[in-house]
Amino acid sequence: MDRRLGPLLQIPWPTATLTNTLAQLPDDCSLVIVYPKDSEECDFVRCAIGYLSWPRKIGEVRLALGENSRPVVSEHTAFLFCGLPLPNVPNAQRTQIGPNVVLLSAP
Amino acid sequence: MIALLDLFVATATLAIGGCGVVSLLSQRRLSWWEHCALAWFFGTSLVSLSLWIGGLFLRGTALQCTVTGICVLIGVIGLRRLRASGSKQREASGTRFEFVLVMLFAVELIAMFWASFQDTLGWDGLVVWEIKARYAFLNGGVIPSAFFSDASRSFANPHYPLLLPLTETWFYLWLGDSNQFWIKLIFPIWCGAAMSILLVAGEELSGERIVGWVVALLFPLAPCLHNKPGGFQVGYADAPLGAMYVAAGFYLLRFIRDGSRDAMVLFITLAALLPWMKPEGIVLWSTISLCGAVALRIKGRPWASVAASFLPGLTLIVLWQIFLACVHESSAKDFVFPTFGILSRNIHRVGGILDHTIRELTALRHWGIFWLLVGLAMCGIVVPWRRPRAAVLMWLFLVPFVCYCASYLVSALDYVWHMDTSLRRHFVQLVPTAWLLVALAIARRKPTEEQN
Repeated sequence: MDRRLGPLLQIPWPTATLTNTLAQLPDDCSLVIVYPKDSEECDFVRCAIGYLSWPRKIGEVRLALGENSRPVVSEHTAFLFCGLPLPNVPNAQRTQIGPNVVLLSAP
Repeated sequence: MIALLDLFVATATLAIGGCGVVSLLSQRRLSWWEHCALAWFFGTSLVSLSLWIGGLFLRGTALQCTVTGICVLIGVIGLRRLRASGSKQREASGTRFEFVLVMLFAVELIAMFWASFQDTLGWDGLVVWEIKARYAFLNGGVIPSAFFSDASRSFANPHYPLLLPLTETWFYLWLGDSNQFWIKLIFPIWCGAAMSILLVAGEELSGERIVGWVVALLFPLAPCLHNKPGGFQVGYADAPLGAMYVAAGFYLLRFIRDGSRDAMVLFITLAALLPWMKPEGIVLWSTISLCGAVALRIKGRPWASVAASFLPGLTLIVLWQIFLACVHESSAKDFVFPTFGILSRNIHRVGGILDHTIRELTALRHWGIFWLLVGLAMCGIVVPWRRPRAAVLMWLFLVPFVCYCASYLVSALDYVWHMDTSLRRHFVQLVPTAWLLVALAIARRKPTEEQN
């Protein structure tokens, strides 16, 4: 997994890093992955995060170029932005996992 | 070092159970090659089925001990029965040339292990198959029932059967870790098992041992089997499914030749296990079972026996569907039920399917000249029409081939994308059987062949 995810996320130990970061979320916290439409690499990243984030429920939002999202972060919902600029979300804790991956969760 | 010891124990328990099953199913001693291959097929099936059924009641160490106990018990019973039968093992010639060929076999197998360790598990190898092994490992050897009903993980195809994931789980339980590096060890063993069956089957079909060696040694050399998605090195179920299919087909052919009870039991059991490997296994099981039913009837078996030959496979398919219904599995399916309306609506796909199929079969970087060889072999078989084994082999190859291509008529997805991602892997399942066509074609024709 590391050999596939490493180049995509540009972080040295992606499996361990993601597992440790996601472990901070409670088990009943859903994770919504936000990533660009029509990106095969991000498709794999989404599946890999789904693989690593068990037992949390996962959701996905695919954004076309120029589209914006308005994530509503709560105790029960966190957002993971992959390969997209981060919108301004007040009252959310930002965890930078890699240059292209940011986790938004409840503080 | 400890990891290697754990892997050895996991493999040994699995192989002991598999050997036991082989000895229980076969009254006559098989050749060493067949015994090893079948021990692996039945060992993986025994362990995965035991983990699945045992996991309904137990988990953790209790489950691991129970499955180990089952393997050892069946192994001991099988060994006793083998000793009591007193029959002799079928042995190879043991010449110096044979020794060289055995060495070549070993070199190819080592190369396959090397290729596996160089490559990572493929996309599906990770997020369709290994994911279940990991979740089962984290949950004491049992896949959590919430996984099957989790719509957000439908990408993992929760409805796929569990032979491969639970075999991986077995290794993880012994390793004490879900290790994606060490698990790659098991896939070349499937390759070795397929090569062993091809050696024996090639020899029996052609009447010449060298033909068996030729097909066995050439088998893993098609690029798709060792360095492309779907091959043995990426952890998909297609190549192992192909290995089990060729074994089931071989014992069906042996049954047609000599009508032996052993061959009948082996082809029925192996065919029944195909749907436990992958959903496409149902197509392969139906193909073999229909052909087997005709063979049983021609051999004078009563209708009850013919019907009973379908029972093991049907039972496994029904049990799995009941289980999926109980755990509320509801992921979207890739295919819709073929009705006349859907078929007529999608008839325009025929051209695209044919075009894609021809392009795939002629893609030299994927297959080399393999399909050209198979095409020539089919012509070589059809022209002098060697009945009935040739007809059976053609059936075993062509029926799934046509079904797989036609399935895209009822694909619920974008069928071009669907073909791009799965057609090659479907063909991988048929490669070992196609090699038997080649073996039959290059066999010297004997006067008795026409009647055989």
